[in-house]
Amino acid sequence: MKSIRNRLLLWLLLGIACFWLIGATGFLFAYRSSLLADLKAELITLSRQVRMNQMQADRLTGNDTARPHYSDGKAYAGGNTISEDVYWQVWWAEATGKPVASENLTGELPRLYPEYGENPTRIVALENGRRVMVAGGFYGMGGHASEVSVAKDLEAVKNALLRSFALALGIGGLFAALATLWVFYALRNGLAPLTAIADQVGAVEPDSLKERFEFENAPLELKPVVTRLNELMERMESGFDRERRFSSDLAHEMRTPIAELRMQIESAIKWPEEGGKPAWETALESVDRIEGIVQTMLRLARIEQRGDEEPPSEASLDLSSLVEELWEENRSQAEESGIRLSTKIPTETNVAGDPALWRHLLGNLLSNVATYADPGSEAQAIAEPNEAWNQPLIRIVNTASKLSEEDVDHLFERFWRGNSAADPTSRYGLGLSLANACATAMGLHLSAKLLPETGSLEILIAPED
Amino acid sequence: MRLLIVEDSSRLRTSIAKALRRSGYVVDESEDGEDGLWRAQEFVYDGLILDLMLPKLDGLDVLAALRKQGNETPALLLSARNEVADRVAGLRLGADDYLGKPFALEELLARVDALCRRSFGKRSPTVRIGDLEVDLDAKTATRGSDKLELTAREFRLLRILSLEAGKVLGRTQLEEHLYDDLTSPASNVVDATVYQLRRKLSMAGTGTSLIHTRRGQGYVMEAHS
Repeated sequence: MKSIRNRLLLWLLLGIACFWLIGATGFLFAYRSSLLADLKAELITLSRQVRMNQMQADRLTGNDTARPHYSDGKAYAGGNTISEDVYWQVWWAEATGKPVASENLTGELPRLYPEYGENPTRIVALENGRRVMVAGGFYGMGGHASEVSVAKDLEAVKNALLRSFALALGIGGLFAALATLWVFYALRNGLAPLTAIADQVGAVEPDSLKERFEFENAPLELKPVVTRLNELMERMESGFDRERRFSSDLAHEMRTPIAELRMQIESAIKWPEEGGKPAWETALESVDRIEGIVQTMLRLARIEQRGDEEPPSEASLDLSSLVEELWEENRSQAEESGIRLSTKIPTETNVAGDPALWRHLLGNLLSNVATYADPGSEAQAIAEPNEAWNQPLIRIVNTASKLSEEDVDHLFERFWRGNSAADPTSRYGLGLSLANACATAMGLHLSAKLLPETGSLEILIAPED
Repeated sequence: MRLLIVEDSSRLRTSIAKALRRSGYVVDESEDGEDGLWRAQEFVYDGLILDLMLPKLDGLDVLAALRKQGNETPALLLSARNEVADRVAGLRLGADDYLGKPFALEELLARVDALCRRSFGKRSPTVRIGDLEVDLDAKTATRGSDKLELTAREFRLLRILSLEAGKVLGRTQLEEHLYDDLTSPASNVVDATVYQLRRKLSMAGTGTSLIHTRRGQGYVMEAHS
C-alpha cells in the first residue's frame, strides 16, 4: 500500500479494533463473573430458604421435630414461591443414596457433600440437557443434619451475556465507523502540509526555481524535508542558471562569427568574380573561430560541472617545473612582443590538486601574460609560503598599461575582451573565466588588482576563504 | 553616398564594407567606438553603421554623443544583442534602424539604401529629374527610353547629384561621396567624371543638359538651367 494516509488509516483502525476486542472481552468476562457470583449468592439463599420453609411447614402441621419432615418426598414450599427454573434436592447428611426430597426435577442433582458453613458450587448439565449452576448447603446438627443442592438454569445468564455482547458489538461498530471518519478527517488535516508541499513541488517549473518552500511555518516534522527541498531548489537553480548562461553566452558570442560567415558566403554568391582563395581563407578563419568558441565553452562547462559533481583528484606538483613547462608553450608568442617571465619560486615548492586543473589554471594565466602584457616588459611568477595554508600563495604579475581599474572588475567575466576586441589576434575572452573555473573547482580563489606603484596587474591564487 | 561602419570584428567589418562598396557606396571603416566617434564628428556621412558592443566606447555611447552634438546622420545599429530591450534602447537614443546579427546581405543592403534615402528626405527608391529616372535600389538610370551604361563611379556621382537636385555641390563634397578616406584621388577626377556623365546624359533622351556648372562653387543638377 503506497498511500501513507491509507496505511496510517489501516493501522489506526486495526489498533482500535484490537483495543475494542480486548475491552469487550474483558467486559463480558467481568460481567459473566458478576452474573455467576450473583447466581451463586441467590442459590445459597434459596438453599437456606428450602430448609427453613420445610421446618416452618413442619411446625405448622404439628410435626415439629428436630428433623425436617419430607414425608411425601417433597419439600414444602409454604407460602414462598420458588420459580420453576430452580431445582433442589435434599439428603440426610449421614445417609447415602437417593435424596429424600426434590422439586422441579426429573433427574438427580449432584450431591456436593458440603461441610458445615461451606457452600460449594458447580456448573453441570442435567439429564434434560440444560446447564445449571448447583450450590450445596449443610444444615442442622447430628442426626438432623441435611444437605441441600439447589440449582438454577444458566439460560438467563447466557441471555444476559448475549444481550451485552450484542450491545457491545453495536456500540463497537458505531464507534469504529465514527473513529474511521474522525481518523480520516484527522489524517487529512494532519497531512495537509505534506500535500501542500507536494503541490508546490509539482508546480515547480524552470522559471520558478528562484522560489523557496516556506520554512518558518512548516510543521516541525517537515522542517528537515523543507530544508532539503530548498537545498535541492538551490542546486537546481544554480544548474539551470549555469545552463542558461552557457546557452545565452554561446548564442550571443556565436552571432558575430556566424554573421561573418554568412556575409562572406552571400558576397561570394552575389559577386562570384570576387571570390577565390582569399575569400575561402577568410571564411575558414570564421569557422575556426566558431569551433574555438564552442570547444572553449564546452571545456568551461565541463570544468564547472566537474566542480559540482566530483572532487578533483589530488596530486602534488612541482610548481617551478610546471610554470616553466607552461611558459615554454607560450614563449614564442611572448618573444614576438619581447615579453619575458622571471620566476621567484623557492625550490621544492609544491602545489596540491588536480594536475589537469592546475595546468588549465596556470596555462591560461601565462597565456594571458604572453598575449596582453606590455611589449618589451617583464612579467613575474611569484610563490610565497603561507603558514595558514599548506600551499604557497601564487602571484602572476605583468605590466598592463592599457588596463583600467574598471577593466579589472570584468577580468573574469566570460567573453570580456576589453580593448583587445579590435585586435584580430585576440581570442574569445574566455581564458581567465576558464582559469577562474579551475580555481573554484579546486577550492581556490582568483583575485586581480592593479598595483598602484607600478600599474601592473597582479593575479593572486589563494584559498577560497 | 558615404558611409561609416564601426565594427570591432575585422572580418565582418571588411565583408560588409566590401559588399557596400560593390553596391556603390563609399565606405570608411572604424574598429572601435572612440575612433568611430571621431570620424563621425570629423567627416560628413550619409549613414552610420554602428555595432553596439565596441571596444573603448560602446556603440550606444557613440550614438548618444553624436545626437547630443546635433549630428543627425542616420544610423543603423548592428548587434549580437538582439533582445527587445536592446533594440528599444538603441532606437530611443536616436538610431534609425536596428539589425540583429546574423543578418542577410540583401537585408543589410536594403536597409542601408532606405537609410540613405531617408537622409535625403526620399522614401521612393526612384528619383526623377526631367526625363531622367534614377533607380537607387537597382542602381540603374534611364533617360527617356534610353538606358544609361554607367560605371560605378559615374553612378555614385549621378546618385548624389540627383538626390541633391537643385543644390550646388562643391568638388570636395562630391569627392567625399566618390572616395573613402583611404583613397587619394587625382585632382581632376571629379571634373573628369562629371564630363563623362554629362556626355552619356546628352546622348540619351531629349539630350538637354541636366548638370550645370556654377563657376567657383561647383555643380548642380536640375532640369532647367
